[in-house]
Amino acid sequence: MPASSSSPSSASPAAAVPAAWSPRYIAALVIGILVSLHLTVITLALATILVFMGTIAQVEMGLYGALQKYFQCFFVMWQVPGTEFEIPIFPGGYLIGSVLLMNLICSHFYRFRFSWSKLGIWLTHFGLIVMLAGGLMTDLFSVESFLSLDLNQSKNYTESHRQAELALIDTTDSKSDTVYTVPQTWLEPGRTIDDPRLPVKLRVNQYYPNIGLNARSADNSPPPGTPPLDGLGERLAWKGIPESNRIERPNRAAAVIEVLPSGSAGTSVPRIGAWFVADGLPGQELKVGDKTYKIVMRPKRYYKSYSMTLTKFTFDRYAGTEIPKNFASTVRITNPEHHEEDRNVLIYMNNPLRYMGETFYQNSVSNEEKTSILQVVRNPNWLLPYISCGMMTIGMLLQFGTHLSRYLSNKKRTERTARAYEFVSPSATPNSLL
Amino acid sequence: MSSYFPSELPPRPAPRSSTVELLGRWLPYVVAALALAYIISAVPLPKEPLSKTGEKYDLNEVGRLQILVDGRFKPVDSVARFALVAMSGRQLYTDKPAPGTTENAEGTTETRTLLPAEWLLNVLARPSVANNYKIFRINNPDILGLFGWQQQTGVKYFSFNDLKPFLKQIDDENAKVQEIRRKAQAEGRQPSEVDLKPFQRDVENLYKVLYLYQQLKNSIMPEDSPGFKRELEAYVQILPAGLEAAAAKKQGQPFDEKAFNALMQFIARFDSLAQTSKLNVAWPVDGVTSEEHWRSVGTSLTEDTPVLNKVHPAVEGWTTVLEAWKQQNAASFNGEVIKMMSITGAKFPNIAHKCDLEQRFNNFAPFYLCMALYTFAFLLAACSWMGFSEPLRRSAVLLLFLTLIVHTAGLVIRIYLQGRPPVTNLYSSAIFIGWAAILLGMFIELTSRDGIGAAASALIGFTTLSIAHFLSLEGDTMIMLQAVLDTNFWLATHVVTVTIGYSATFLAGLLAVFYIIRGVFTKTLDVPARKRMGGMMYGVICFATLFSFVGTVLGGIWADQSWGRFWGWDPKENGALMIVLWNAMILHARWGGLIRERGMAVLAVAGNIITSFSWFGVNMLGIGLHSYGFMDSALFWLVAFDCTQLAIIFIGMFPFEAWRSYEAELGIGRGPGVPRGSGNGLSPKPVNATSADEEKSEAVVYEK
Repeated sequence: MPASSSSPSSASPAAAVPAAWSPRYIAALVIGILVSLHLTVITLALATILVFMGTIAQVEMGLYGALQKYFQCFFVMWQVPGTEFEIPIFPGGYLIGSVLLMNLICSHFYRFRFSWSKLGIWLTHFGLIVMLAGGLMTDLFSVESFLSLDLNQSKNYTESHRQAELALIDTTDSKSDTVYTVPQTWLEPGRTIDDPRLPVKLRVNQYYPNIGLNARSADNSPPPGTPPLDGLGERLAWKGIPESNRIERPNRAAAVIEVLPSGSAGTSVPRIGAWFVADGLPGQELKVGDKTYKIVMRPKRYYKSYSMTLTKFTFDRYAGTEIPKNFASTVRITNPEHHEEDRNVLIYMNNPLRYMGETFYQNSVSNEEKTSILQVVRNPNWLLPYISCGMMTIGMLLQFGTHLSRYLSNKKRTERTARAYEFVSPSATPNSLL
Repeated sequence: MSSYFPSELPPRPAPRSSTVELLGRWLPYVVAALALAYIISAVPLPKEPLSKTGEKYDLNEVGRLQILVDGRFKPVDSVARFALVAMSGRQLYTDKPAPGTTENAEGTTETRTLLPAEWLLNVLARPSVANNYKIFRINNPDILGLFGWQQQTGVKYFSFNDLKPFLKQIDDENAKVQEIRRKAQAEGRQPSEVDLKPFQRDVENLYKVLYLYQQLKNSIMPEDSPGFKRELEAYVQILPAGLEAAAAKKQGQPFDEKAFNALMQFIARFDSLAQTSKLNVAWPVDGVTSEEHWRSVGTSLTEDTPVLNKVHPAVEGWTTVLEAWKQQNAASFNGEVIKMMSITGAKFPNIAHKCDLEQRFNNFAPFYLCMALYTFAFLLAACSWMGFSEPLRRSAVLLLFLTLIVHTAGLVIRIYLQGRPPVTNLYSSAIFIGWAAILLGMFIELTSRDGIGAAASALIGFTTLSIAHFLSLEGDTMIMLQAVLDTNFWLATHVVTVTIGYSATFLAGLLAVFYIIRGVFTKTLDVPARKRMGGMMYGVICFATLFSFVGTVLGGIWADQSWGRFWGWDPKENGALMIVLWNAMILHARWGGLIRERGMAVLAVAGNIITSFSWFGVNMLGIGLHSYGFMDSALFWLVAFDCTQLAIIFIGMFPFEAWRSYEAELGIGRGPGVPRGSGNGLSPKPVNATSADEEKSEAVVYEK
């Protein structure tokens, strides 16, 4: 016998019914819907279906694709075949999450009166509010990147897995480089990037979020309209391919960039040259006046105030097999700005390093086991899930614990009576028939 | 159960018949005694057969010998069983005369089940016999057609000699499949994403097991060796001169070319042996290698022997045992086996002990035993609803208790052998889901005593163990864990909790199935029964919500600790989340009065579909960190299971006019006047309320 622990639930407003469709009536109706248990049930059912669809979709579109289409959106859109037209067919993750959150908050303000017997429900629900809010914040503020280190290699930056950037590196000074970067989102075909912070003007001739790359030959030629190129581009052919949404198949962004002297106006100005740049290609040299630059497309970098060096890397297998048992990286952290820090840390599977607001995890190995890849996550509210989970777990234990003890004590009471009856007519009639 | 009889109860009325009463009192004990006898009879190892000359070979002792294979120490018994499972789909081989002939592989007329170790010894030492064993199972008519054979009923096992003329064809067909795989891989597809036709898959598999068989034959001594022992003696003899020559050659000094060439010949031969063998039988040499570093015969000969200046005792021992087996020399065989056992027993007591236990565990096959006992318990519980209820029900409960003890013992032994928490792969999750559901079901049975908890437990036990049995056909069930999963803490907390969540959701779903079938097809689901079963379902759903939630969250915390994100939308995580959401939905709908018992039952059956998806379905997606392996045939069963659940949901949605249990209340059929609840001795008071009254009273409860 369930306890009626939460109170009334009818969708119709319980308050006095005002004249039809007056603003007060509509407000009451909206509130009535917002606080109703019907809404809770519907949202939970829709959420189950959405998660199911999002899981199945991962087979076709990969994790990122499914995330964007089903969870990180307000509506799941469906493209009408043969057209560009998209219509919403199902509520998306953001919509369901926010409706659930509103429902929860509103009903607590509207219906629930705190009492100790309802502590379990309160804890569970507030834990859920914290969890949903925390989930949204993680979605908005967390940054994931990668740090891939060869043995004895040092880096003072981590790299994005998904985003690229166009970098122009001034290598004239032999002591230090000056790096100018242009984010991937600026690279639209036909756009001229004229920013006072840049030493030159850049015109984007072509841009691809992902390409297939080949050596140039009779069968493989670059797309029509490609200007004569300087550097490596002369020997290469490429083709735009659809963006990959799978973790295991990263995109390779590419562009054809025409470099113009800065301060020049109009399009007739003689350009300095044109370069084909793609993720994975080495930097290509270009000279502007007395300065030497390198132009390169590379994963977006996040620079740090410290550097990390891979001093040791081990990859254990189970004896007599190829099944990996453990990867472990010994990393030396050098941070002159932080108490002259210089120490070794060991990072291995299931044992990450938390450092300067970021967490470094052993992710994988590559390059014939010579390169260690660490995943780096900055998640300012990593603590929230722990708090919310604790609250919800305790809440549910309280709530279901009271149910159970009530059930058992009821049982005992009815059982005494039942036993009495049983002994009046033992097995005279079958107890029950399935 | 009978621990508290309230003293104020009326005295027990005189039974109608003393024989029936006597039977009723003693039936549970008789059932328990029989079950106990059955269980105990399975404990001892089988008796070794006597050879033709009447000698006894210590085959059970050989079955205990330790080998390092695939990263863990297995007794010979397990090595043989897993190889047999891979080839024939069975752990044991029964040698019998082939159809149409009167002789078996041994050349005798008897039909006999071989000990696993015996089969392996024959493969290793007497290929001429082993090649006649019909162990390769081929079901695919297209493959048989490839050989120009027609499918005959009852003939699906073939011997190596049967297949020998077609090895080239199998090789060619497999090469085509591998070409498809290579292409797919070049396009960046995962192995599990490659779409193969049944014929291609079966050919690939046949190739694999034939390869495994050939590999096995050459894993201790080369199949073509006329006398491996003599070869080894010759090797040890030329070794010093050969090594000297090699050292001299390295330094550019004149060297004994003959000795050098002789040594090189041996090395090449042993190297090729080392290439094929996966059986690491040679334990580490003191001071040379670490304790985990066991070696195969070939590797030991090229690496240990030059250091030791003699053949490694394990290599010596194995060679002697195999040659003795070949020549059927029992004294030499038994002596050498005991010698090896005493060495490993003294050097590696822990490994020896585990292998010993594993052999007994294999032979005892506790989960197989439990399957039979659960079936019987289910029948008893189901019969208890037909009549003679209390004695039958008690028998079922007692039998369930005994079976649960065996089930638990099996689980504990696995935990001990593996050194891991109970759930590490799909196979062990099946065993654990059954176990946890049975515990819960027994709790329900003890509180409501109507046979429903017992029947549900027994049915879940039987089903999950059957699933485990089919999963065990994939080979070793205790394989080592990938690096990410190598953490006992999270396996013990997250995995166990979430698996209990699965168990409880399945149990709630099964109770719901009982509820619907009982209500629609029988007249026994009266108001008190509805309340009681509703209470059970409700309680189990609460339990399921709690555990699947906590389990999911612990998974999130593990992910945060290990990969830096609390939630990654991994398919397995999503599956668990769906269970939480669905159960939470059922509970809220119940609290809100949107549904009553029937609605809860229908939704709980849908919970079965969701749980089966997240338990099995996501593994078939072949994506995500958690996927344990890809199974095609399981997909069929999953879909079939889901269809039955949909059918039950459909039945559950019938209007109450179609429910036989509502006939009386709604005045259908025999008309009004049939008192409801009269058939149930447990109803505390006569119930007169009509269905409409019931609905009203419910509404009062929920809508205040």
